[in-house]
Amino acid sequence: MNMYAIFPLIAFLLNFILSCYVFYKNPKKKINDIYSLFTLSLSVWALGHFFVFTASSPHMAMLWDNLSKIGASLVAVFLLHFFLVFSGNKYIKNRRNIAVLYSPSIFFILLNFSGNFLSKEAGVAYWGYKIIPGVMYFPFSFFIIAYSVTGMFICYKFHLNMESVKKKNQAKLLIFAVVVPIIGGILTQFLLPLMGIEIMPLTPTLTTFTSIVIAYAMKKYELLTPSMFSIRKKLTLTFLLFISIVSISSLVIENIILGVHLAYGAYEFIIPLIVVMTVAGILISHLIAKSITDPIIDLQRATERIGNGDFDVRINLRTKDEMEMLGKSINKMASSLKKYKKEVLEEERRRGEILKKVVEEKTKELNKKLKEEEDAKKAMINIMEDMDDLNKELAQKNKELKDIDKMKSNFLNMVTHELKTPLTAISAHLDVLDDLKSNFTKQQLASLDAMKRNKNQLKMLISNILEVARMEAGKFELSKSKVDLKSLIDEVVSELQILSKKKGLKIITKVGRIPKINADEMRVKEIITNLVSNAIKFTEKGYITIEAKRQGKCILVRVIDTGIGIPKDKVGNLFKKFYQIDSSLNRRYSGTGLGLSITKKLVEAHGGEIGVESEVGKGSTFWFTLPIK
Amino acid sequence: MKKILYIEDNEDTAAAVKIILTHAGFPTEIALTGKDGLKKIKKNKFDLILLDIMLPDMSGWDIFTKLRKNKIKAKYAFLSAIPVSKERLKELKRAGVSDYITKPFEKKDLIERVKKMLK
Repeated sequence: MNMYAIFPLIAFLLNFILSCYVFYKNPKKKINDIYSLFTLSLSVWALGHFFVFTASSPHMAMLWDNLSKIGASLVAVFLLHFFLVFSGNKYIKNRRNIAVLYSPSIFFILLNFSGNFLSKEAGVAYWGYKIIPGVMYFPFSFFIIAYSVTGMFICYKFHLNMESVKKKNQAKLLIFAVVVPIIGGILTQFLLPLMGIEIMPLTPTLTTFTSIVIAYAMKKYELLTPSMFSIRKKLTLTFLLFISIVSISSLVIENIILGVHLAYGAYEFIIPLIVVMTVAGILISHLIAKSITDPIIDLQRATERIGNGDFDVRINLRTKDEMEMLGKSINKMASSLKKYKKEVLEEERRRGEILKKVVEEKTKELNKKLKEEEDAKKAMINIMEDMDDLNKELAQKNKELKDIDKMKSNFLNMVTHELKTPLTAISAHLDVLDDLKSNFTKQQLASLDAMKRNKNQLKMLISNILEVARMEAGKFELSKSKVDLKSLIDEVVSELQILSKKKGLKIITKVGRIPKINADEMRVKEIITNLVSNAIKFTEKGYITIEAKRQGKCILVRVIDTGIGIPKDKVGNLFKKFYQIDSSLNRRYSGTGLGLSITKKLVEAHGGEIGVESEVGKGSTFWFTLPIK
Repeated sequence: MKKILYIEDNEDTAAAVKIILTHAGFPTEIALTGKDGLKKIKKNKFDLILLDIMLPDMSGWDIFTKLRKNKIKAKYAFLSAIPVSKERLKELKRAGVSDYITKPFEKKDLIERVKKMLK
């Protein structure tokens, strides 16, 4: 056994195992597929070398060299392809570009078989047979190096632009894994031979390093992310076992049972053949297993998408078997689901529309109500505006009335002034004359007296008329304060004492404990004065009694005389203006006929009542009430 | 001797009042218009100025405010036929009016009130 041949053998085994592992673990992932193809080609290359090293003749070495060349051609193109996939390059999205990418490789494989362009002949070296390069060997080497370096460069650029630390590290390790065999290859195949040092070709051996580094990258940085798919593995192993049994049994049958004698060197040929058959068997079983498992994976992915709610998924399997049927069933299911979903959505939409309609209707109703309310509001505003107008009108009327009132008031003041001015002059001159009366004759004195009397009469009349007029014009205001009725009565009595004494009448006051009342003092005095002076006026003999007592919330005042009395049928008219029972009495008793009318108005202005009880010949009782508060 | 000016457009009343007051011991001058009154006030000093309210050229109130504005030192009283309420009287007194005598007046009453004002 050639000891040097162990190195490519190890490289073959490691790469082959790695290839199988990656291929089994994560199928239908492009990067895994390409990577496993890359490592497989590496193993083929290494296997080629192994057979060349251990070849029995130069002829055999040349024969096995073909395997090595095929492996090398594929290694370059798979490497570049792998790097393109790894870096997500857009170039490989196009099928034509892939064809262009693979064309040099195919060209060199074909060239290899069409003559001794790549390998001239096999020579002997200390490690076994060595291959002497042909005319096209350098372009071939250049192709391999160029592809490898381009791939590395792309990977390097990708690494620079990558932000993910994991991907960056993956790229770094990939470059590191590939750069070692390339440099080793250049060193051993070109540089050292040029320097005259002969060394065994180490490139495939160095790919052992590549396998180890990438395996490390897979473990550490999750490169190629392996996952478990056991059907493919089982299938592959089944096929492999089948092929192995067939081939070994055929050998056994041929050699031992049938006893066929093989030609010289045939044994030597048989073992590599078994190995090649095994490799081919693995490849074929790969492909068959793949053709079975790929649809399954397609189906699995499709169902997963359906599970995620994507019912547009369609499986286009043309395997013409149960898989296709299953795919069709899944398609049917998906379309049913889609239809159902559509129906559900439609139903939802329909319900939504109904809801929308209901909402719209309700909104309409609400709006209508709101509008009605709005209208009502508007109407209200209109009414209010109308009322405002009315108010304005009223205000205008009021103003007019006030103006009239003012005019009335002005007129009243005017009349007062006009009436009182001459009266004042007369009164003043009478006073002047009064000062001179010591020189007057008896006749003159009588005249002066008559003038004075009539002046007083006129004065009282004017004052009464004006008072009534003012009351009727509304120019009458009470100025209320706390009034002590007892002292007020006493005051009136003392003021009228002269009059009563003249007639020999006695005035008796009977005032109990009464509270002060809220009233206009001057007006109350006027009321009492009027009533008492009337009593004096119409009483010839006897007495006058003034009584005051509390009666509920009021004070009741009574003025009782023993005078002529009032006939019952005249009582009703007593408080009317300018009314006197008898006009002859008027002359006799010199009244204006306004006194009681004014008195009644004053009492009523205070919120009280006034009345009379009388009997002709016996006397009269005038009474009035005034509220305390 | 306290001097009185009586501004009154009714000549008869004015003349009678002049006699009454002079007789009572208060020399009284009369003016028949507001203008005339103001002229007399400018010339002489009066202790009491009696004012009628309804005058032909201006109101007694106007004369009063004008004199007060010109800071003429004197007592002021109105002598008018127009009745006045208690409230109104208070207001007038607050404004500086000493009294308000309503027409027609009694001689005794007039003299008493004038005396009171000139005390």
